[in-house]
Amino acid sequence: MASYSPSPRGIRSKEHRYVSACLTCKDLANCGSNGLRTEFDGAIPSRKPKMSRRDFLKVMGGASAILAAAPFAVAKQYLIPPVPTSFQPVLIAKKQDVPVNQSLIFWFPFTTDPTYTNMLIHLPPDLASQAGKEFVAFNRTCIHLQCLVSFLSSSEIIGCPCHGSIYRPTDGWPIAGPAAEIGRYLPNVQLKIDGDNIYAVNINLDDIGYGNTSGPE
Amino acid sequence: MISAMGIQAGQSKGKSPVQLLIDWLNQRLERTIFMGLKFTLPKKFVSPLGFLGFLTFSVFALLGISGALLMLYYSPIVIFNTATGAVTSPYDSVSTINNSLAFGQALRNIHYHASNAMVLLAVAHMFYQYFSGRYKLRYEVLWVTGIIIGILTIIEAYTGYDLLLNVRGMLAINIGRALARSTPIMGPEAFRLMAGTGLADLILRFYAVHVFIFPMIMILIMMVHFPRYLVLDIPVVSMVAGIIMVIGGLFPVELGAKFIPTAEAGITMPEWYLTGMYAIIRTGIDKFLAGAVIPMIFVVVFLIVPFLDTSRKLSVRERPFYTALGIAGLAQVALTTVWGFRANDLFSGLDSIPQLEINPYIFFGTVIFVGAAAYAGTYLWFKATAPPPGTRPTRKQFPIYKMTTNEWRAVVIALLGFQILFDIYSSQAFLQGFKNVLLLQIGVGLIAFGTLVHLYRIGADSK
Repeated sequence: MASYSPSPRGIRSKEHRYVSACLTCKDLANCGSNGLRTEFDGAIPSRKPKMSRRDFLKVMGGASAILAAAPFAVAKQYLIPPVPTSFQPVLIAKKQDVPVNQSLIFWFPFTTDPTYTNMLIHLPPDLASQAGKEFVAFNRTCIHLQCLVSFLSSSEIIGCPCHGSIYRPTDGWPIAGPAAEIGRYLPNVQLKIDGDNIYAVNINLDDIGYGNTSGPE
Repeated sequence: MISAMGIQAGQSKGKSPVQLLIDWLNQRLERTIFMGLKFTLPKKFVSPLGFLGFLTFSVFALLGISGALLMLYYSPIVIFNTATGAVTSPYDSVSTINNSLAFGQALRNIHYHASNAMVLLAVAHMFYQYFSGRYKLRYEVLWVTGIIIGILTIIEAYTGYDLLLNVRGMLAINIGRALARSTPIMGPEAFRLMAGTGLADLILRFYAVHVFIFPMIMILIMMVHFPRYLVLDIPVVSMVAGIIMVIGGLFPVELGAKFIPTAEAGITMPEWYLTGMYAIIRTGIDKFLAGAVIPMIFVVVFLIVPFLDTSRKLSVRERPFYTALGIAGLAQVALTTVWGFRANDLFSGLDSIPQLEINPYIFFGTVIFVGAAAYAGTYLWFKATAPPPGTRPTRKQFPIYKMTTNEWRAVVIALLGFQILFDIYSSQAFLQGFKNVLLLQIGVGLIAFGTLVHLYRIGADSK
């Protein structure tokens, strides 16, 4: 370890500052692990060590700048507005509007983006008995690359026109194509059937274009 | 790595890596436009009157930031549904910003009060430079470009407050496009240029002008207008920003009533920088004369002053004619601006429509009288207070209290504590939805920051 020689620049030199800081510690033995310390045991300079004026100013000025800028952090909520998690039920169709093995496309919950279009499917009897219900609704955004999928009544599947992903109409599970590789359910729209009226009740917006692992109900 | 950056070994000795990086960057910035401007960071308090121009620019920058954020939600779309009577208007999006978005009302407040501050600072800057003779001695280009930026600033502010499409904005739009149409010969073209085929086009045009076209033209002219030496006074700049926010907290910007074409509208005033013109229009004289010729006379007088006053004298006393002319102009601006808010009789408030029409003889008589009185008064004041010949004017020295080290340390720590307290308060205000209190407290925090930076520079310099 090199021996200490007082810096020609005096009090502002780094070594001196370090040592001064050390000497302000009450317990010298636990005051950092720098080798310089041992050489200074007992060699307390006569000048009373304290934080230099410039260091004090730098710390205070920096802290003040941070404190002045801090309240603007709330502007984040302005830039990224929160998205609502539940919505007012919307009447989307009457039962007789959607014949068996047909579908109907509706907007929910917003009309600002095509990814908010969904399809209401009136399942044919065999699929309906598998699914345990007559009407199902899924978001139309493919979980692969967000093209809009459709219900194909001739083959009773949900198909994506971009890369050939195929979903099961009963629960939205991908059975073929790139979406099957991803293996997540097409987001479903919760429905409420009141007499003849079919209402869209809720959808998890975070799942749109991404899918979920739980499937309907 | 440092040596690869091209710094010679002798220079890099004993410097921290951060300092070396800053040096390296500084040397490379020599190749860019930024080094053409010389910024001075004053080491002690200097009068803000000397750098009102840079303060105006700082507020312009604040307007740019707050305006850009407002653009995220503002929608310049106007649709009148004639079947249902429903009006889709930019007012709805402004209302969303104001009422539904976190920090939206604060941003509107900052944008509105900063616009007032910019007009005020620009006018103050102009008159300060005028009275200190800074339009002559090769400053002519700076002066003329300054006047142009000043006019653009007012038009920019005008297009801004129209974009809300509240009752007040609609009133200003109506007057503005009627004035454009009253232009001789090219009136119909000027009208179409401004309004397109109707209100929806007009709002879209005003929007384009407000957010892009005029700011770009202003920045281009500013490149000519900026002198090479600029004073960047962080304490005063942050205090100006703080004061804007405090005023925003105390006098929050209003949304006004939504403009509905089928509804009645009450009397609404234009913004204060247009009430002078509004008062002239209210006299009922020819529209083009009131809205363009008379304001232009005022502008042209100021524009040609540097080419008439070619003496090398700078002090107000040594060029009494131009000082008196400036004071007369200032008095007339003040009078007409106040009268715009008042009834036909200057001494009573405006509360009914019949009070709007001002008698032109009384109005212009008063304006001319006030101008002449201010002009004569300046001469009389100079005569009465003339220093005896041969003496040099002495400057008053303000007593300066010098703080001891312990005192300023205590003040700095107290200010920091104050800032912490106000940060806690403002976060509370934000959580509880006290929008005005929030802005007020942020402003107070900024003023405390400015004060602290001022103490910083005193402390860093004193022994």
